[in-house]
Amino acid sequence: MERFCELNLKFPTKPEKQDEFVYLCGRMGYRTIAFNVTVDANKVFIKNQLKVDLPELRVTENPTNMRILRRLTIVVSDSNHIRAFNSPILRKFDIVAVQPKTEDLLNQCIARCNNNIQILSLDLTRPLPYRLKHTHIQPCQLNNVYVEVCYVSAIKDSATCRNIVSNCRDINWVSRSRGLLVSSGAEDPLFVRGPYDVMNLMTVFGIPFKTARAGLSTNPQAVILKGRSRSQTFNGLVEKVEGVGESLVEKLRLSKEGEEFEESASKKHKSGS
Amino acid sequence: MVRLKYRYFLVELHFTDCTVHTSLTPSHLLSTIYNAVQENFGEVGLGRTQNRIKVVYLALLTGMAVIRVPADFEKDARVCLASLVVVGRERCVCNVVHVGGTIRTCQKKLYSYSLNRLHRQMLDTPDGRERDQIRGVLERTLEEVKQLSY
Repeated sequence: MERFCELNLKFPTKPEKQDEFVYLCGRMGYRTIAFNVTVDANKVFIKNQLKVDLPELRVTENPTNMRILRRLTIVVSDSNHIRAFNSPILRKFDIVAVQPKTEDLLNQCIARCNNNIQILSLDLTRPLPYRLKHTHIQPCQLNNVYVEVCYVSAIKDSATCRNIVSNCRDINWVSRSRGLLVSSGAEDPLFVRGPYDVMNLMTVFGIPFKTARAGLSTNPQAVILKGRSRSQTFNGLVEKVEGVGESLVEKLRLSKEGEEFEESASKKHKSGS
Repeated sequence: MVRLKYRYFLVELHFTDCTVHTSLTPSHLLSTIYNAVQENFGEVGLGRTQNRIKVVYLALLTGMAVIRVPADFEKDARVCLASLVVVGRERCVCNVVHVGGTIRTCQKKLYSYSLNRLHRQMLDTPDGRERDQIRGVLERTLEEVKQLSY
């Protein structure tokens, strides 16, 4: 069963709205959602670190067992802010995205991100001030940073729809239809659309059906895993799993494999190898 | 041989609150769809769909509707339905549940979708009179559907 993910819902301050989002997204067919907090790096950059408040999840009803995550989007307008991507508060968020304002900043963010960023989101509601090239997007694909396309402004306003369609075509061309993420960016639950409707919308906007499908199912799951490996593992090698510990060790000791392992280990110890 | 082909969309309308909007009529929905076609596809789009779009079925209690569009306009019609923000005077979301070549397939899907919803609602309500009522309705509907040989 395909798991559709919606990774950009504007974080609602009222708890009732969080429930509304969960209910509607569940009815539409989404199994994972992420609430997004957008911050301007200028305002939260203090002493080479980012100081952001971790938002509280207050979902009371979750009938479809939806997985709910927290995402941070940093709007970067100065290259000094990039060194703050190592801030400890970023590890508390499940997904981190960056929104660079200029072409230079885009290149610098991707080159210096050091596995701290999972998503590159660009402002597609206006014509981009620079021409997007393969050289901008190829480093993203090498560093497993996914480029995000948000469709909500296309539904709200016809002027922004024009810009979104033209930017979508550029992004699809430049990324060679790989490494794209499709999400809504909705402030209100009534702006979220079902996954198959979104795929059809993207097809008309210029992103092929298969790419849009991947952008709603497999790519978001890769983003979530990457976020998890950044925040909960040591360099993707070692992960601390809670609640297992001694009970597992006891089981191993009592099982046959455990006995054989102990025998071979003691033999090795005696032979001095 | 040369036949006008249509596509039938089974659509679910979600509103902001759970009240039944009795002021909503099929003509409201139709005019909203035509506005969306004009906004997204202009005069050419309107020309392609003039007098061919029809709201075949609208149930306000469940929020389900069946809409007929010309077959070559299927993808574009889906874009128009996705871009619906207001119907009549109510804010709503349009979610396409099923696309079929005949009304019969949409009808079958409507039965199974409604039965699933009822079943989930029954599981969500705690034990009591309400749950028994829903169970009764489910059993009766299942029998009727069997007789229709769906």
